Amino acid sequence: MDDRDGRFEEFLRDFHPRAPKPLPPVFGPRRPWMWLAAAAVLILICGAIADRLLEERPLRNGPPGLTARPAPPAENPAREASLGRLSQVAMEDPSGLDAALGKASRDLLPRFDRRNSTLSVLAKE
Amino acid sequence: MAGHRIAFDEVGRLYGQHGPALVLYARSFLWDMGVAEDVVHGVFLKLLRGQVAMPDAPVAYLYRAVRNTALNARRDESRKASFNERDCCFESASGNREAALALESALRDLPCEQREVLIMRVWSQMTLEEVATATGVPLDTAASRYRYGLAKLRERLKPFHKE
Repeated sequence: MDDRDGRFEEFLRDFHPRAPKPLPPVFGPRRPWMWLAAAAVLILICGAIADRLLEERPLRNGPPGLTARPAPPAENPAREASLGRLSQVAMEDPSGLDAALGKASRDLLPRFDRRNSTLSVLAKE
Repeated sequence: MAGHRIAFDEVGRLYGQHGPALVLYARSFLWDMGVAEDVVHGVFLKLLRGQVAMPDAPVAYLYRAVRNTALNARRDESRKASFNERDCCFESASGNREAALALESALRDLPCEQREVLIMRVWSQMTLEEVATATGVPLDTAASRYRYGLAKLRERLKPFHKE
C-alpha cells in the first residue's frame, strides 16, 4: 500500500458512520435456575409469614391458654352453623351449644309452621 | 471453535467499537437505516441474552451474523423501498454532505467482498490479518480485495478528494 492509498484512507476516515442507538436494557443472560431459586425463596418467605400470623392470632385475641378464636359476628346462617363454628362453641361454652344448635336449625331448616311453607303444603296433600 | 458466553462489558465494548461500522455494513445490504440498526441490535441482543455462544473470534462472528441477518431482512423489505438521502449513514467531519452521500453510494456499488473488507479495515480499524481471519480468506486475497475496492472508491470520489 503506497502513500496515495494511505492518504485516501485518511480521507475516508474523515467520514464517520453514524453511531447507532444505544442497546436496549437487558437483564442478564437467561439462567432458569436463578428464577427457580428466587421463586423457592419467595414461597418459603410467604410460608414463614403465614405461619407466624396463624400462631400469633389466638394469643393476641383469645384468653390465656385458649387457642380458639373469638366468634366472628354471624353474617349468614351457613357460616353460623358450620361444623367448625359449632365445635368452637362447644369448646368455649358447652352450655351454649344447645342454643347455638337450635338457632342454626331455625335458620337453616325449612319452616313448617308458616301458612304456605313447603312442608305445610305437602302435609295438606 | 470453542464457544463461550461473553461478559456484558465485553459486548458493550464491541458495540461501542464496531457498532457504527456494523450498521454501515448492514446498511450496504438494506435501504432503510432503521432496519439496518435493528439488524445490528438483534445480533448484539442475542449475545447479551446468552442465546448464542460467542466464538473465539467475536468480530468475525459479528460481521457474519450481521450479514446473514441483513440478507434475511432484505427479503422482507418492501420492493418499493429506495435510498433515502436523509438517511445517509455517514457524518462528514468537514460537513461535506454531498461527499458523504457519494461515498455511501460508491460503497454500495462495490462487490460485497470488497465492500466488507473496506468497512472492516477503514471503519472497524482492523488489520488486514484480522480481516483475512474474519472473512476466512488468505491474507493476499484480503489485501487485493482491499486494494481493488480502494481504487474504485478513489475513482468515484475524485471530485471530493484532491490528491
